[in-house]
Amino acid sequence: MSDLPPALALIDGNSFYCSCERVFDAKLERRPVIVLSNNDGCAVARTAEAKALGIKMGQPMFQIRDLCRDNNVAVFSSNYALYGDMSRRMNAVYDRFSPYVEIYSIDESFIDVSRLPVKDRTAWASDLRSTTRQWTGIPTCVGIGPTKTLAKLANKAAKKLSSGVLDLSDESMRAEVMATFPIADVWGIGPASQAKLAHLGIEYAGQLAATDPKLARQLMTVVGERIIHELNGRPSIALETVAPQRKGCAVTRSFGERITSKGEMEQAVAGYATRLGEKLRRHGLATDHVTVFMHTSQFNRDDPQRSVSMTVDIPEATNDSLQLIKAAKRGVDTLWKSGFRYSKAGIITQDLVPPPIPQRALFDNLDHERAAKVMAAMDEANRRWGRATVVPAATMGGPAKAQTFSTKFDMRSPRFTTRWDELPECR
Amino acid sequence: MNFTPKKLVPFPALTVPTAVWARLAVKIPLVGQSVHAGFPSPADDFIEEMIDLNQVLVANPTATFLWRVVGDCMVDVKIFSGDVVVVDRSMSPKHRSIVLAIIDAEPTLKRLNRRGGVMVLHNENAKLPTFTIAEGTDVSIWGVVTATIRQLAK
Repeated sequence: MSDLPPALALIDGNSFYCSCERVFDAKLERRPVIVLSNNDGCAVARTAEAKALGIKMGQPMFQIRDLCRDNNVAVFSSNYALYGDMSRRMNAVYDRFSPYVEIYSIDESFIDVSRLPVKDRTAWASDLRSTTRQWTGIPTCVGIGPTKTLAKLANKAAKKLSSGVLDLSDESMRAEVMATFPIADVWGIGPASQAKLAHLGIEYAGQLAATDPKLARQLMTVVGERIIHELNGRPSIALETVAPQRKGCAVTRSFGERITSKGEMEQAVAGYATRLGEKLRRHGLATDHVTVFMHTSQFNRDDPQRSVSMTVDIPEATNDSLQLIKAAKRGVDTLWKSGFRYSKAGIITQDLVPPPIPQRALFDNLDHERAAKVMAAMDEANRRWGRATVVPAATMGGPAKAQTFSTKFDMRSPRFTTRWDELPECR
Repeated sequence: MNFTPKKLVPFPALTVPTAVWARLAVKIPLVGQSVHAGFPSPADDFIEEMIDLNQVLVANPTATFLWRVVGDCMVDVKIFSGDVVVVDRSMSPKHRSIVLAIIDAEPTLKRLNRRGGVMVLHNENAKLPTFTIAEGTDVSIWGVVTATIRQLAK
């Protein structure tokens, strides 16, 4: 497609969730900050100060409670409304710098730099970084390389530089950095692969790049082979400009309390179907199936264990919450078995499609249009007055129970950028 | 490298979701020829989009944030407690800008003045003592205030 040598930039937010919190509270600049996963289970974001205290990624909260208290660590529940909005703003900044942006995750985006009329990529990246910082308040790092894996590697190495930018387009410079870059930090190398490679004496990215791709394939399947090619500057993972999460969509939660009755399970899953419908409508997509799953907690080893899932087909692609609920309930009906204490359930869809085009002719399919209107009104009400203002009746239990199913937000900061009544305050 | 520019992705960008169809109908002025009307409206040629407050109040949405005022240090320029201020982070603060400053980690509104090459912050409230900053205090400008919003009735 292009004769230019490939060059990709990976830009990501430093301790992204924590940085979002710091934008609106300068006092946090002086404190270690961590953000917890859904249900406040474990640390999913840590500032450098928190990492220095020895708090690990994914470490359960109960293990670090005392440490946090003794070191004045600011602990937050996840505030996805805020993080999502800040992520959107960051990508809006990137869009001004390049039309070739692939949103990879909430805080990471790949940008194809090879086709930009840019002479000095490091200067370009510094400008991107400082504009993002100025406009959104979020600090970032940028790594540049000929493949995604190398861009990611450069980004990781850039975290240690005060400039926050590292361009590894140059081969000799790449070799130098990779010689001391641990394989554990290479994209796609998990603990299992790491152990296998360590057995062969391969500890650094440089050694891994020099490994025979066929051997890598034997050890780590085709993924391992691709990693070797990527590390040698041969692109093996394509840049996708459609956000990956739109290919599939999932709504899932751990329950605050274990679920033991079918009614409660139906109600929970109906709630997820409602959220799924909302998500699909927001992106203008639909689905013709839902996969329902539920399982018990693997931490309660003494309890009887069960983990099941099934896919329910829907005759025509839809994003109507009521139809999705119907399908999801059919799933629960088939899967449900009493005598287990379920800890988690959810629904997933893959292969999202555009919704059937509404027939706006004289002889209309009234059902389609009416359902769309009901859903639009429901979305509007929920957008204006807060999530779950208007919900399908199927998701309603007793008022006291309803709360059990949603994520716990004990220590969540205000939704500073999406709610009139939660705006940040100044004197 | 196989690569499609973002703007050309045909799907789902070009799909109009049904929810949007329904919502558009609420937001755009509904004047025009309907099946039962005999004559076209004479106003049809003059239909414009509705006035959007965002167009006036928010020059750069990406860098604009709203803050609620809970103090009285700017009452002389008619910024009162309870008002919402529109703060643009992409604007460079200039002489006479009203800014959201972070002083010793506290967000506060101030007037920015240049006095002989030095930037000085002060209050806009004659009843308050002159604002001074102790040496060694951390000061930064969070953004420039571009508008105030005060609701008089709901």
